[in-house]
Amino acid sequence: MVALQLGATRVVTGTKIPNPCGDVNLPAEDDRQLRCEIVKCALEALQANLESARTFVPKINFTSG
Amino acid sequence: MKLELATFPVTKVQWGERTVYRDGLLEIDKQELLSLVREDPKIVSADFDIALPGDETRIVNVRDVVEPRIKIAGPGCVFPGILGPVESVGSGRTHRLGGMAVVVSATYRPTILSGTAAQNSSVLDMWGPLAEATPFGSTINVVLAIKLQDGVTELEAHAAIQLAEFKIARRLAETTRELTAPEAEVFGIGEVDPALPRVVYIDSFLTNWHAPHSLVAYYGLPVRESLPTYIHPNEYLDGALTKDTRIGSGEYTYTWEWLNKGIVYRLLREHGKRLNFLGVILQRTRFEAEHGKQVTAMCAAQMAKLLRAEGAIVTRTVMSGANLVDVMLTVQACEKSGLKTVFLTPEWGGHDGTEPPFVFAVPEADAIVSTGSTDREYRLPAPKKLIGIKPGERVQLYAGDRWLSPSEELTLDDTCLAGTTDWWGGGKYTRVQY
Repeated sequence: MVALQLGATRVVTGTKIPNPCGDVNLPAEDDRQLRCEIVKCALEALQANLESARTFVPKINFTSG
Repeated sequence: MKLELATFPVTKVQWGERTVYRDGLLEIDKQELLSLVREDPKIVSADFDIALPGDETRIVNVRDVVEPRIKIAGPGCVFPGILGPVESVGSGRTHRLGGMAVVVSATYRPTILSGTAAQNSSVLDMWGPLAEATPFGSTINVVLAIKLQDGVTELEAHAAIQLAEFKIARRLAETTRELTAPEAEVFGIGEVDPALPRVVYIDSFLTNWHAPHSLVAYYGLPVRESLPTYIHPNEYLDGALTKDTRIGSGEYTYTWEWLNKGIVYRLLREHGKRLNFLGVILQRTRFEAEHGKQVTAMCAAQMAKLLRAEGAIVTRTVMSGANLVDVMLTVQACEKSGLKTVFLTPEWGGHDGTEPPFVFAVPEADAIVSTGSTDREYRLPAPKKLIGIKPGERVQLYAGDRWLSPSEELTLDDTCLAGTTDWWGGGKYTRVQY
């Protein structure tokens, strides 16, 4: 939300503010998998042809508490 | 529920043989107060001073400011959960000493050395541009300066500072127990003309789940990742809301301000005249994922709707982007459920006021009351007297920040100055649109 308002064109949804590209509540291997998905999504975002600003959502689940 | 708040104005404070209040004169037995403070073995040194408006005095290491209040009749005590048992407050009679404050200046060896959970403090001048901008520049201040034992934990430091200042405040207000106040006001939110517009106040405040104390406490219990809570506005007047006294920086809040919240008094005084004040929704903010932000916003709006509110006033605390998102989403959720919603807040804006005032906004936030900028810089002349620090000693207001020489001229913004950030209205800034 904030990123789009600030004018970013390729926004990737992360997890949460203190650790946006991971989830410390997960076991190490699952956390690595989650990080991988976010990075893959970011690479896709870089390759996409854009008409206007867009949010890219990685295929992840994380603990929201 | 009705609370009579009786005011005993203080026009002069002086040291004396005993602690007594008479017709505006508060005489204080310094030794008596010192022995109260020394009851806590964690406090290794303590001293008192008096700072008057207009004095060229600078107070350093300011952690908190509190107004002397005491419960005279009715259940509970002032500062329930801290000075006495947890009992619902806000009814009966409470005495306050008006026009004065207890300021606590404290030093200790911190164990958290960086980040948002680290301690901080502010500067208070009794004269010049700072005194004009803060409510504590025009109160007669009894200043308690303490040093804590090495080895205290952060939470022990908070508890020691808070208990010392609260005990002093209670002892000073105790002098009015048998007296009749020259002025008193009765506050309540009882039944009124049903045609009046129904208004709720949403008090959003930032709390840190990860810090030793979360920043804000309700009946002494630090508020962490809770969802909105419905309370009676009179509870503020009896000190049900308090703060982390390790955190004295100017962008945070002071107990004095929680007791004298501009917006709460105004709504109470308008109750039955221009509006029907339905009460207060306390809302903890600074959720770390969008999910939490959406849930708290929805929940606050739903609670307001269940109270059949037609209008809401929203405020916040602490200059934080994470917190601003929660608050903006709350404004949006309220507007979407049909409530006319006003957001009252200070702004960012840079030293010259030309930077964006908010890092995030929603289109529904179309009625915003500004209480000024927190980025304004003040040039503060050198003081004649220093309290809370030895001459020549330097001070660091935030962990890891530059070291300042408070005996010299200083240039600082609101975040470093006690009481200049106006979170809840009633402050001293005048706003001009241009």
